[in-house]
Amino acid sequence: MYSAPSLDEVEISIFGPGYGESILCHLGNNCWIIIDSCIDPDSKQPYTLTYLKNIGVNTERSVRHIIATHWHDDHIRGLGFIVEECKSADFICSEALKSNEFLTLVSACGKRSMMTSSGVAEFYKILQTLIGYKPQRIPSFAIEDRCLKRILPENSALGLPCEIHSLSPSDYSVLLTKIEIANLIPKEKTTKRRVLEISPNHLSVVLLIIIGDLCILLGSDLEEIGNAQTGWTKIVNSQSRPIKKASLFKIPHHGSKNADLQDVWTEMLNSKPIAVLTPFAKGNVYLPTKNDVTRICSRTENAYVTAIPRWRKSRTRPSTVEKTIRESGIKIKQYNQTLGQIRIRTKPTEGNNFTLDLFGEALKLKDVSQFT
Amino acid sequence: MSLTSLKKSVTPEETIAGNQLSSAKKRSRLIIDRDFSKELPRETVRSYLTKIPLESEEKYVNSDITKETHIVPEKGIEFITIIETKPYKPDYFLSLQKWEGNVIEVMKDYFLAKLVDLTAPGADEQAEIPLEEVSIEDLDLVVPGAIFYWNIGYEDESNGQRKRTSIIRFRRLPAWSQSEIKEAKKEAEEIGKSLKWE
Repeated sequence: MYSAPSLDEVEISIFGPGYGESILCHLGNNCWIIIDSCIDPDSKQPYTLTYLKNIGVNTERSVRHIIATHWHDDHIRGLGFIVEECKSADFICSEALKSNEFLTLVSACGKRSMMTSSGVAEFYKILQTLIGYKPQRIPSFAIEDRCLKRILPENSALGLPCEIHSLSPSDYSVLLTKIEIANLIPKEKTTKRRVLEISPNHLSVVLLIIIGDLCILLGSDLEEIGNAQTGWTKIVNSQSRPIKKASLFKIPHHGSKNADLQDVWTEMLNSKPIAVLTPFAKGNVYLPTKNDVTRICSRTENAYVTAIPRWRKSRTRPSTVEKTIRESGIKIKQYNQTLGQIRIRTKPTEGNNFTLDLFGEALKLKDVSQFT
Repeated sequence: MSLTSLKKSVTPEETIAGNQLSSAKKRSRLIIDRDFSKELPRETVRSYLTKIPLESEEKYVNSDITKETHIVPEKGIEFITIIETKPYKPDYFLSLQKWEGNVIEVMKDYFLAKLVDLTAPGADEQAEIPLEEVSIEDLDLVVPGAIFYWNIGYEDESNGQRKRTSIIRFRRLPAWSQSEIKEAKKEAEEIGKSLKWE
């Protein structure tokens, strides 16, 4: 598990316990990208940093980009610490957050943290860390059809061109999100509460990474509501996005139906791509559902999930506490926090043959049904 | 301390005495003829009794009570009232388990909440909490985004009883003030300038 990829090897590692998601990408030549973050409940450290340190990567020097696709709790926990640790990395987030309203929201609610952990508090930490550097680390913003990074072949250890494109949010999504964020700003004389997440998720950053012939589509949590100006419909219909088809796909929004668009599979992916997803559980929502599993498996036989989508029995506590919980009629469940990692490595110079390794609870998606 | 020793300890300085105050004496005797020592600490008994502005039995016996302004007439005895209460001992709560929670969704009979364990931090949990577990005065506060604390522990009451208790208390966060919002806007502007956010 703990061996670093060679300099000419590309790696995509998807980490997903039952709640949370993070992606690591090695572009070759010891250049790493961290996309989103989730925390290991044992070490309290972001999974990605622990993994990088275990394989001997100098995170301070080798992590070049940190991307926050959106600010939901399950994607951002620990990202402030990552920004602090990875000193030479630039920070990229959604254009939809580029507004005074978002900064006001974060300054108001992130500073006076309403709870032990929250997305806005994490974002506040990120901003403070970025400001704290001299010279300051000025963030970049991702929007539809923007090339965030381009490495020319002569500067690449692989001798191949490398590009990172953002495919979302669309202009219309940016506008919608800015309005929604403005509505979240606390108003005078209203009660202080935790900031609620915006739904549906328009602001997520979908990424397309192209290294030579290798193409990777990372779907983030972008949802689809059937509006031609937003979501996946807008991406599929875009005339200015790179037209390459991806052979590796991080399925959006934990495989849910409201992030699914058949056209993505036909227009943007090779046939039978490797498809990976992370599970999610919140409230009465469990993702992927049985229907989601069936639908995804009907599109590719190479579908994998980082962990089994299920709740775990709550941890055992002293008998007095357990007894009181029982008597009060309160039911407690624990998010499945077992580490699951799907690691895919390939050498683009040698024909993109993938080596896929599953760690922890990760398994083939079709095998999920026997556990749920 | 026995009844005898108590009597001894309050006599003669602290008892009402003297022929001239015979009825007062009688009443005071009546009061101290109980073994309060078992109910009140000696110092407390003394403090009650010494409130009577009498200096000594001898003084009263030998003095002309009509000329002594500090002598307590019979009705003055009324404030030698020993209140039969236990020594004050505040309720004590021994916390065994504490969570911070926030409301995700409110249903008809219960609400769903995300819990963060503050006693032994670990993976987040989710709870289905019957609304009847929430006190009536907090019910209005049960809305998505509301923050609460859930405490399980022992409550030691002043009467010495120990109760196992589960307490859910919603945070009554103060309302946003104009100055807080103004301050946030100012900070946002500064961050925006520093990071070229706009």
